[in-house]
Amino acid sequence: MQNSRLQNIQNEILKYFQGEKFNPEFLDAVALDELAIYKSLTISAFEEYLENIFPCTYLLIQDRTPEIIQDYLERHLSVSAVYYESARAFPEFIKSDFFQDKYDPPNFIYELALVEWTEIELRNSSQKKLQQLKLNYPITKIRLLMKECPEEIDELKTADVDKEPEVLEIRQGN
Amino acid sequence: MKTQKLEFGNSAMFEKNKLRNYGLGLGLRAAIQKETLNYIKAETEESCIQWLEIIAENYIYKPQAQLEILKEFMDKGRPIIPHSVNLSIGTAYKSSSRENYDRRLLDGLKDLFKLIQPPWFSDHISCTRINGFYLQELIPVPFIKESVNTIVDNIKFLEDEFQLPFLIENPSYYSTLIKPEMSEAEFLNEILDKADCGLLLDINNVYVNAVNHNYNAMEFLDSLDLSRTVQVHIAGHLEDYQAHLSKRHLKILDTHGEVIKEEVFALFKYLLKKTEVKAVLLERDSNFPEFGDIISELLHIKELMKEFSLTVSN
Repeated sequence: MQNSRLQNIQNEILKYFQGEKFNPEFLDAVALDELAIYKSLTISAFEEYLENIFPCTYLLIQDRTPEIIQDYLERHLSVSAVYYESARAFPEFIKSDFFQDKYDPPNFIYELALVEWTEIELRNSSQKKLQQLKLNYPITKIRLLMKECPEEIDELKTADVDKEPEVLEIRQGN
Repeated sequence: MKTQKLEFGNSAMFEKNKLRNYGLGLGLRAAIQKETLNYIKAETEESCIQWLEIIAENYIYKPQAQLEILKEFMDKGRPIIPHSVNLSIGTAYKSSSRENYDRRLLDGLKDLFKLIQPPWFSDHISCTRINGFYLQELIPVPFIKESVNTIVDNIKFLEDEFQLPFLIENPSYYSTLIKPEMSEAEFLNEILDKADCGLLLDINNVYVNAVNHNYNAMEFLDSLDLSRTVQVHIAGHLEDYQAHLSKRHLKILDTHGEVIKEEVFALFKYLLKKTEVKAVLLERDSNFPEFGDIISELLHIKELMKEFSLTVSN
């Protein structure tokens, strides 16, 4: 069965969001510029979200976030209507050769993102499990603490595994 | 396939005169959740938060503990009314809506609705899901006949599924995608008529669209079938956005992150003169001020509503 006009339009919009070349004959020429507004709104909304869910990882990548988020969303559009789940593939994306080659992040960034995501998953699956962990510094608290000590961010960026205890100490000092 | 009927849904039939008046409400957002609850616990009977709206998708597939706060509001006599962002009523499917809808979303919403027992549910006229992927933005739907038929089919499916009246919200839009076959008001009126559903009129969106697309907001309201207006959204927006939107000379971004402008209040009053509404909501989604400033804005809206004798009647 052939696609209808509306289906063609929407398929082209999806291609645009996934960073693919699309057939301009289905949309007005000006619509491409206008769709860019929506794409940039998606990216800025996701950035705010990333900062909340991956507060430590975010600090390490924030200089390049619009580009990183665009790369992520083009490759991992969510199939879930639940917004927080749209970040589920982010740790895997960070681990991917594409991300590692393009952004050359600190070695520990994947594990850091994975830990941050795991806490979110726990929070949203069972409050009890999270309580059993007895975390003094849940992600939400760490985010606030790190906002209070921005001067430590540069140190964190260059931190290697050996320096990790120092970073933890800084967080606990608040 | 026979539809599984829900316990809470009495009827999907839209009968505005059977809906009660909910008065003034506030959008419940994580950033102001605790302050909102504390305010309601402390306040006297002169309430300016008579009900709360939640973004429904934020409250599905959550552990029970995170839904307790909704029960606390309900225990304080504050109804919770859901507003959706991902029902994507503008999506064109290859086969029937029933087969293609996101079953996990629908089941999650059913669980939520069982808890909050809403009088209606709503979503924007937009397309947020294409071929199973969520775009996380309210992508506009072109003003063409095919869109009308698509949206009407989707609304009828959703109303049948939930056995609740559905309201469409007029979205702000930054593109018409293709040359329209009809005006925005004709488009909305045709959907309202064919789907026989209610209208959630976002008065700020009317203003934003009027400025961005260069039409008169009051004339737009005059041409709309306002008799179907059940709920109103009122919010602030970001002006001076030319730098980002300059290619199309768009001027305003609909952010829900600023104070409400006088021009929007004027439109709100114009609307209340023209039709009765059942619920008014202040939407504040970002750039949160002190909670006291939100209350001041609510009190101002309440004063305006009083001028039109719009209060709560149980």
